Amino acid sequence: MQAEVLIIGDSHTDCLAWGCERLGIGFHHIRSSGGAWYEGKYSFEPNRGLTAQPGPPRKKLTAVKQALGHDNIFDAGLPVVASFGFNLGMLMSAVSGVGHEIIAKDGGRRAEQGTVLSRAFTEQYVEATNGNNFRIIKDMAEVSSLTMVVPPRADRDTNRLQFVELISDRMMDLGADVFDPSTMITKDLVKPLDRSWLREDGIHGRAEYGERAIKALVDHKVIERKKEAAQAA
Amino acid sequence: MTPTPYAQLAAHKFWRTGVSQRNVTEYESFWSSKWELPESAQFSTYGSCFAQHISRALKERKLGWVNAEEAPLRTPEALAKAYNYSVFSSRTGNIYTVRQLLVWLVLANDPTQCDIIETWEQDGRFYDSLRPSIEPDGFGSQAETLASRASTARAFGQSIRASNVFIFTLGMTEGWENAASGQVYPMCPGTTRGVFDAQNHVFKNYTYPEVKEDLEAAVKILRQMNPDIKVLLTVSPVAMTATMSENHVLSANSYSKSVLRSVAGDMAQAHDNVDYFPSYELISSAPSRGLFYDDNMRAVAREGVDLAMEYFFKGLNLGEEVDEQIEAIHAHIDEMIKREEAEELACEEMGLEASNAS
Repeated sequence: MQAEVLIIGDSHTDCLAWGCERLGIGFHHIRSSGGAWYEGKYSFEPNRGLTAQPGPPRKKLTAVKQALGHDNIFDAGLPVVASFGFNLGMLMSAVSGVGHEIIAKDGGRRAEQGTVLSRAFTEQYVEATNGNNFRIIKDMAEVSSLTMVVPPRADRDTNRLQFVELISDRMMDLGADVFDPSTMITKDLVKPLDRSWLREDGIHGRAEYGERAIKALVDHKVIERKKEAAQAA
Repeated sequence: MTPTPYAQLAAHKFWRTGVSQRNVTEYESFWSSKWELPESAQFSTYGSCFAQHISRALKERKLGWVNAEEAPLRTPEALAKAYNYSVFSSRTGNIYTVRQLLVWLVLANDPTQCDIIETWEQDGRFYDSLRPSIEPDGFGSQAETLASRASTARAFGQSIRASNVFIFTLGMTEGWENAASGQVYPMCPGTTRGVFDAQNHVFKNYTYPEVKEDLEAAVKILRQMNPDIKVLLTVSPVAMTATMSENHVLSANSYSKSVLRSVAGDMAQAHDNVDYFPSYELISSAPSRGLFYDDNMRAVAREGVDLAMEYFFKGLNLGEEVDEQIEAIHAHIDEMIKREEAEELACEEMGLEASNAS
């Protein structure tokens, strides 16, 4: 099956890959753990595009390069659907672990307890802990049609909502489109997803979730299906 | 001849044997805490900028320093510093005057009062008039400023409740208030943030009775919040940058420090739960020959801070050992002192030296 989209990211891209399979959409999948992205196992070089450190990340990347016939995977001209750099698990444990609450953009409700974090601080904190991924996203957005997909909204935690908003804003500033399937499904900016959309771990999306996300991207022509491929599917 | 009471005094009670014949690093019985503190004692630190050195020294020695408003885990050090995390036990910023301390104590007991404190808007950003530099670029909205101020007020209260010892460095007697509302400011509005308003912003040089009254009130509130808390006062040896009084800055600085030193001493004498640590004398008095100041003779050099902290921890009897770094500082200071000789002035009080048995 000819590839129609590149899927790049962490464990949150699994459901997107399953969604493509369900819809009969050809894809290549470059996937590593969130930790690998956080630790800088990937980087971006102007001539070579995405690069990876030796080990499983490079092995997978090399295989995709060979399949595409390009040393720079973005030269294939495929749209890129990605999910990495949100690092919500790490960020949430760092912040909520000591009882912090991020102040909403409009000042939000007044926290009655705990320690509040300003938006300016939180932005710089995210930048400091996620700078490498943001650099990759900026470079990828310059050479591809890049859509960053927000991980499923598993709960109503206000810090999570603030992080997602803040990171999404940053990714858009860097030139990427950002798509939040949870908002599309719940038709609400805050309401968490019904558990039926999530895997047993309560964090990652199921295949059905990925299918809905990918279908929406096809409907919005983010993934432009070739006629023959669509008919075959 | 009948011996006078001076004959019974220890060597450190006489200037010659206590100071002149001693290296500044070797003063005997320089300070000893009034209290017996457990090794696990928890300290909170507030006040003028010199208090930051105490925070750092406690942290470096891995002693119990209360941090009631921590930065999130994995915050890079430079970022934490830029946003004033871990400088004091909560993000109050510098508290230069006792009147300012009183404001924070009131807010800690009733954070809803945070709303009546001024917020300054400048170029689309919002600044907390109680701590104008707490965020390098201010806050995004009035609501955010209020939420952050209330959060710090809560943390300030938590730090008091979690502490065995509340360390407060008295910094200045000079300050600014709003003539209409009575609000105090840490700095003259307009110097860092805000806009100076000659009608409403009035200069105050707090007198001994005012500082004493404020500090009595502060200690009372501290004890209401934590009946077992002990208050350790220090006076900042850092000189004023400028004075708004009619006096020369040197004279104004002397007045300011003298008032603070007197109040601190009287408070320590009057209250069992209040003590005074003489870092001010150690660094600023003549026997130190200005060695512990930077070239501008205002800011305190690292050696001075380290030496003060060494005496501090020695006096606390928490079992801290002199480390190699301190030994090196001693050697450096010894060398500097040897190069200078001080002349003794004729003084009637020197007659007391005749009673020195040492």
